[in-house]
Amino acid sequence: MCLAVPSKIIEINDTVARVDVDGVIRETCIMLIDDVKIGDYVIVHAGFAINKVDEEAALKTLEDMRSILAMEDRKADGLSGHP
Amino acid sequence: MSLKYIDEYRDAGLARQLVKKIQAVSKKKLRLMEVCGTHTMSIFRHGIRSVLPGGITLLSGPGCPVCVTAQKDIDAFVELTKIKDVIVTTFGDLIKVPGSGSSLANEKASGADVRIVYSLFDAVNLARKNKDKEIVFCGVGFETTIPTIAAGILIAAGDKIDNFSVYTSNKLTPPALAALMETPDIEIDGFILPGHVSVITGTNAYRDTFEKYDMPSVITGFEPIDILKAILILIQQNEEGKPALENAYPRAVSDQGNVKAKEIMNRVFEVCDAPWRGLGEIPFSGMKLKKEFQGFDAALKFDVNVPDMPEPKGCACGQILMGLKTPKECALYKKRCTPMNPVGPCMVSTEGSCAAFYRYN
Repeated sequence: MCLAVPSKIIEINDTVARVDVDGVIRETCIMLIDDVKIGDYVIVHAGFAINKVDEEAALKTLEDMRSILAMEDRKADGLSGHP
Repeated sequence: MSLKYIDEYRDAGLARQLVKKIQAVSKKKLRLMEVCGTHTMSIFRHGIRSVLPGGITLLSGPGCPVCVTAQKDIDAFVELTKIKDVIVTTFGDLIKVPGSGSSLANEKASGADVRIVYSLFDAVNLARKNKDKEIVFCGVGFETTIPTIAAGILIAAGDKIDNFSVYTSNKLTPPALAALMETPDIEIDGFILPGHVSVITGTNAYRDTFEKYDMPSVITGFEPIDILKAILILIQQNEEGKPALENAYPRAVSDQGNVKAKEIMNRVFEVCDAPWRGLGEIPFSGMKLKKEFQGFDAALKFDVNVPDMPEPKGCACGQILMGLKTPKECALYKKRCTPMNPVGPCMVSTEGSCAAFYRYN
């Protein structure tokens, strides 16, 4: 079972970090990732952080999707020539 | 505080737009397969099937680690519970899976020491605190879990904890996809590739399989927007006749994956052939302990000999995992096989397609 909710690093003690998921605090092992710091969001699987969430990519995916869908809507409405 | 990137990727307005677009571009009848138990659950939980055009069928492939575990391995886990001074540790969803004679849950009810752990860390700590016992972890998992098992073994090795071992039944995703493509009568028009397996493997791990079979393939996350986006891309690729390998989950998945996790995994494990329920023996689809870590191999440490037993009569888990049957087409579904009294693993794990069908239909 994969937990899709990113966890926020709030404390680091060697290879173990404390993470916050919407107020629930857990310990997670950070030996599988590099360069983690307090405030980073990580994906946790079975007690281990397996990656940091790329915030820029997260926002860009949404923006790209919105602009493509909006363009399609304009095309459908016959307004594609009016940016 | 809001949950990071949860609200945004559950945005109802965006979901409606995606569904509208899917409805507009979908012409052909298509069968799309997800290969991740968490995708299975998410598709049901968010009612995604109900908003798709009638021609789009979603199938659940070999993506639930418990479901693809060979019966012989389940029997071996059960046998381990019978050895004196052994504490068997496992993730929760494996405990109820019936082997040919019993399950870990049955053995626990009869007095065996079987414990559910949240992580390998917990299993290693149990060994640290119980020096007079042997702690065995049932190693069932894909690329997401294997590095955590490797990390647990490295911790145990570093701290000289010699009463800890793992019975490995690890599985690798790309070889299973290739094996699936070679299966006669298979009808798949696109793969929704797993999110967190791909966090570790990276997009590049699927490139060989993709290039060989030209199968539309999209990696995605677990929120409804992620899944709808992947479905839209797969439909577009099919309609345009332009198969591609795409990453729709770039906030977590890169081309090369988690290099450090792979390095740790490959330090401890090496690729081997592995038996899969339904798919049979698949070359290079498993990971066994390397020679220098064999002291942590429960299969060598304990004398566990289990015979090959046939899978339960009438159980269609194997065909369901390959997309050849849906749960409703299994003669046992909702009759002899229910979540309370499961016959096959797909009804046991909450991520199994039969359990999900049962719960949400």
